[in-house]
Amino acid sequence: MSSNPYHIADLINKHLTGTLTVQEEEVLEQWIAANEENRAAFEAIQSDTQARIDMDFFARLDMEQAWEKIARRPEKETGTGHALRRLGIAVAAVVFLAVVGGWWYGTTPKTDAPEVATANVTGNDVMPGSQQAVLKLSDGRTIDLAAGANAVKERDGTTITTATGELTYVNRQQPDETASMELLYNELRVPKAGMYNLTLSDGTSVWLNAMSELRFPTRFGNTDRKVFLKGEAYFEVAPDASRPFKVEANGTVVEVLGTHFNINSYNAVTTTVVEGSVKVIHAEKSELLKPGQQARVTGDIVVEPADMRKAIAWKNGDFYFRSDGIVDIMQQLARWYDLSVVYVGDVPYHKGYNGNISRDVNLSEVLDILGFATRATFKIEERKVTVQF
Amino acid sequence: MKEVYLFSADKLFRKYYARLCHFAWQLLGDEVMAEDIVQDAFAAFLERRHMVADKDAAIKSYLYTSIRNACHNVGRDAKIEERYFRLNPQVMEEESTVINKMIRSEVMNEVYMVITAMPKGCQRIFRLGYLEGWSNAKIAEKLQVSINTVKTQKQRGLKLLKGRIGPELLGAVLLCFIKFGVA
Repeated sequence: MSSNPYHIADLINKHLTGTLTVQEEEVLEQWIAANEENRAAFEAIQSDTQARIDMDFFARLDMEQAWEKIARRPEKETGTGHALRRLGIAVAAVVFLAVVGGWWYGTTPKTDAPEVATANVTGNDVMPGSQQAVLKLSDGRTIDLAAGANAVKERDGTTITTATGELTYVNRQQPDETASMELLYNELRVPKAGMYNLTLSDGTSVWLNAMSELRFPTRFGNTDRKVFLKGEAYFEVAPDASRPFKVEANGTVVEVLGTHFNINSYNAVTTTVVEGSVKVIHAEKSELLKPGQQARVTGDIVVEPADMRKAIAWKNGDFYFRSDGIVDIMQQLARWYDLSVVYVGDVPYHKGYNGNISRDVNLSEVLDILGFATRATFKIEERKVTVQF
Repeated sequence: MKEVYLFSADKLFRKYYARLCHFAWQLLGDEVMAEDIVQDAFAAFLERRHMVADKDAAIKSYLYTSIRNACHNVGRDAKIEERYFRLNPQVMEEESTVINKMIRSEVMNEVYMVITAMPKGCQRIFRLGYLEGWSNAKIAEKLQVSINTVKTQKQRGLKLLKGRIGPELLGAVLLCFIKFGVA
């Protein structure tokens, strides 16, 4: 695995000052021994003549003058910048693609697009995911929602209606009529390359991301509203002070009264609050989250500032990468385009990439841009993607 | 929507400009072009700053990467193509070579920062004495001061370094000064 260059630079500085700890020295020595190039670079840093040339270079820079030049530039330069700047922008590591347009055009047929061959991508193209899910009723029957089902009635009188990509639960009975009735649970399963929106009987909206499952009662009881999540979902919880809403995901419980938040439990359970506040409970510990905060459960509950746009980009139909490593990015693509991923070459695991692009586009388009940012090339065979560095 | 950031643009610029220029200079071998590229990249960064995580490491990586890419593009420019190829025999430089250049820029920047943290008078004598390898007599003549002043200033510089910079960097500076002096 490649090492973080900033960390190595730091270790070399410490080496120069003789302040390396034994462990650090080991890391540095491993890095030096990894290949001839590293050894040569390490030795060159300690060369007197070269270092003097470097110091002179720094001394010649006029930072104030340079800053004035930048500060004086007009805010936005479009078309007037010289070729270098335009090129720099075009191929900048961070490729920003704001794809404006409709986010969802109904159920996309799952046939794969024809062969592609761009600068960075070869093989058969893959269409984006679509609104598909399977609903499991309380009696065990399953309904494929992609096929376009009609209204269904549950045994407790709840009406379930489907529209394109949406599922709505309505129960018009009065709470006192249903108080003694047992809760009937349904399960909504969203496969790879899928996404689905669900409105629960209390009016709460839930968006389920690909490879996610929600288990919920067709109507809620009188004490609380509890659902069970696997994968990722965004909740807009209908306010109801008398019945807290609870989401259980992989041993963590998130408790709210009425608020908007995202839970990602693909890996460590991460809760991000958009509006209102939520309480995250795990193994007898709990933390209260405010808007703009997120909590990651990794044994402990770690509360940190959240990148809101990042947390809910998927719900708004975008991929949104911020300092994400190639493996993270490919995992997200794999869930949405239903892929398996193979890596070849010297994979820069430590590197982070930024960018956003609509989830509406074909795979080749996303990979082509990713190729510009990462300098990787991609080969698509059926649903297998080979990432070549 | 107005975004609020942890670091002001000019602070970031002052923090990163020198090391980024050094990095571009290593890749291109041309000082003027290196500075141009860094200024362009920094201006482009400010325009789309809202897309970069407001973290030191993210910003630094963004800047280094966009400069690396811009330098590669310069390599495609016919005018300096020849020079670029000579410096970078493989057109697409191996990633690890680029990363090692980045490491060098980071280390050398740190060393230079220590030198600039010294007061001007000391700095000058230090530079001449250790960096340029001048004798005390030569420095005294050049700066029109007594040899004793040179000696005192050197010692004062050492003391100040010890007091101000902290042990972890002090060694680096002295080591570098002494090594340069010997060269």
